[in-house]
Amino acid sequence: MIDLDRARAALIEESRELLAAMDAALLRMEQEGPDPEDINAVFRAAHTIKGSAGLFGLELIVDFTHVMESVLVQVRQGTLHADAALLSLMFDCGSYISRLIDELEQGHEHSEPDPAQRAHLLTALNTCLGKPAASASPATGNAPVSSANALHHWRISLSFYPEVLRDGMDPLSFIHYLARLGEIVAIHTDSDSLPALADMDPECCYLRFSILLDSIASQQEISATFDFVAEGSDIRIERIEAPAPQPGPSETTAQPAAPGASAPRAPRRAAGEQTFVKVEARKLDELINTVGELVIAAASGQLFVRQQQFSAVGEVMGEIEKLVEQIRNKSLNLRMTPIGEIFQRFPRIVRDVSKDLGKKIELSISGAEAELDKSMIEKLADPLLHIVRNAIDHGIEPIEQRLEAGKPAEGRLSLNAFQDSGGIVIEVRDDGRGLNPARIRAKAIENGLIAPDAQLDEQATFGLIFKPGFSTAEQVTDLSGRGVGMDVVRRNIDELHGAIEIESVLGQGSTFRIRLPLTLAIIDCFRVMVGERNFVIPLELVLECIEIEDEPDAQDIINLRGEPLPFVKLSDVFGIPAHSSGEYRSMLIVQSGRRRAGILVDRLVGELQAVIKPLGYLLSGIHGLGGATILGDGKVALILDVPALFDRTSQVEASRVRLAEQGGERAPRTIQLS
Amino acid sequence: MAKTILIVDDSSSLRITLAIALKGAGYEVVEACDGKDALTKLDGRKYNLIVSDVNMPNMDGLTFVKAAKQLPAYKFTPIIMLTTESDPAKMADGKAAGVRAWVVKPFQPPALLDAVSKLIAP
Repeated sequence: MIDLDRARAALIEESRELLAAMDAALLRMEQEGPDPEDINAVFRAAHTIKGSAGLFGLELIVDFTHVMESVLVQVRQGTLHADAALLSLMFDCGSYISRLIDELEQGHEHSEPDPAQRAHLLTALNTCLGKPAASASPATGNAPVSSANALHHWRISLSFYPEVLRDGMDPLSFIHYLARLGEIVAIHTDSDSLPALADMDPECCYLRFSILLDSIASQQEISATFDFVAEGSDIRIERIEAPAPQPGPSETTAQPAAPGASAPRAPRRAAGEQTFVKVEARKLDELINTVGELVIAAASGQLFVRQQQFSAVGEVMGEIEKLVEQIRNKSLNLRMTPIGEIFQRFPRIVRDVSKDLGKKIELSISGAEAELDKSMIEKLADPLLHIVRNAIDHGIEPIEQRLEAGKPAEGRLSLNAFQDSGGIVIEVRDDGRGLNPARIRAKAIENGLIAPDAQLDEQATFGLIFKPGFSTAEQVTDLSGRGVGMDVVRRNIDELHGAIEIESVLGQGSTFRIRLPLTLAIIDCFRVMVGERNFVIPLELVLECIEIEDEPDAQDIINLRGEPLPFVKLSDVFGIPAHSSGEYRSMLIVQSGRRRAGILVDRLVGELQAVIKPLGYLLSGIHGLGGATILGDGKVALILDVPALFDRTSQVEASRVRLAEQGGERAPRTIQLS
Repeated sequence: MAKTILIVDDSSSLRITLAIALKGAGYEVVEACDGKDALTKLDGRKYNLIVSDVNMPNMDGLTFVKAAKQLPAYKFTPIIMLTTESDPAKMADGKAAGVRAWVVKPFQPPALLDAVSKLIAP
């Protein structure tokens, strides 16, 4: 308390000094005319007194100096002139504040020394402001008063703007603060957007957080936690369904953790509703990894049994293999998340982007319930965002152009997802101007991406927009035309073992279609051999297998039923010594997206389920390899990255498969095993 | 170890009151009376937070904060600016300098403590 008395004494002394300085400045202005320095001195006196008095809750002083300050702000800005009348008013205000300070010194800080004078001065000040006298509203910034009192369950998703750390803001302290508002039931740290170490800016925040909070605070109070970082961040606070009824709010905080809670407690639901258990992604990964090992072990058991011809054991093994298969499918299913998780971000994004660009867009979303591996969902978010932004920025025309073209003023954009033969398809469709092949071609020639005389069909031309450094935006806009982007989109999709296709009709719109496998953890593969090396190729990419009796004449093209087909020799790609045993050679015809090519190998082995293991540090940079797997006999097989191999087929562009002629669907898969 | 907060304000009563409140909440406090004084107190000592007024004689708060952010030791130090009117131009200027947290005067000590606890975890 002694300290507080000292602070009060300091306030009184300081206010008197400031009032004296204010008087001096006012006097100078009365004699020599307005001067910015002097106006500032008067302003600072009112400003500082207001700020300090506010700390002590001296509302009589705060309310008064607040109005005075508002007038001085206008004087400083030049909207009010510091004429004789105004200066005289300020003198009177100074004297009045001086009396308030005297009262304070006497210990009567809440008594009004001269109500008439106060009313008179406030009226005069408000007249300067052009406001009716009554509206002197002080801004006393106090802690918000809790108005809500019922316990609610909140889900808070935090995605801070990347430079948050640079601004000295630590996400962790906001979370600590949140804990003061209630009980943090669970926190999930999402590190999916963390780039590779080499690409990482250590001063940026890449982590996202999802928090379950039980709190009696209102939405405003919770959201006030993030006031300082709200701009630029994506902060979502939503009330979620109540868990099973609790005896009373007060008991919830004292509740013990769920028995054996290996995962943070998930909200419980009334019986009959769908229930969820929140599990750490890492644990799920471990489970899936173990199941992967089990798949390998079962395969090697089966192999052993077959070699030794234990027929009785074979039956048991068959049963085990069936069960393993089921466990595999079920555990993979655990990772499946509805794609709606990313789709739901788009209404807001589309609204913001279209508003920035002055366009009107109606967004429709369908198929949000289609499921995809959780790890892929996050990686899909960025490329999808880019495609959507591009569609709004470059695809959908400005309103006048649309009306001229006889289209409705409101552009249509649709996001659609559906399952399709072992994979998932995501479409972004707009009814904008469509891609202009002639312009794309011209731009690609200009940028040196293709030779001026290159022969490209429409698909190949569209494909150019995915080349690094390509950008047709004549005017680089803030949103999308930076010349990076579509190539990154392509790379992201490739990393997900997916493919992207474009359909576009000039003047009518475009559709970007992303095809993805459902999961990345275990895939059905086809095994081949080159020399003594084993390779596997994702089965969904294999169209057919053919036998080649003689070494093909041309270096990299064969004639497949009258059509030219580019191919690669796997032995050349990976520098494996030429096979000399004189055995037949085989070719796998593979297709990714709309590109088709052959892969020449020594021997076809057969189908298998491969548990994908990442390549180690040494091999991870090799073009054409996507991972590794362990075969039943314990040997390692490398998984081919087919889209990367396509880049090696020199004339791939020239010999694109013209799928359109085949009705847009790929040929039925025929695998002939010898 | 207690966390240290640098308070920069030309009003001594405000500094004293804030110091009382912050010390009461378990923080160490260093005071400076304007931007110039504050700069001399940035001598490599670790501050967990800087609370600075905007409008001060000699050197104003934003100039001080921009200078502080140039020093490696204070690049990531969280900053709370005290201001009277929410002045959009000043706030935009502050944002460019890495200031996001504004507390509008007049306020009472609990409001500042609240802001402080958002920025530095106990």
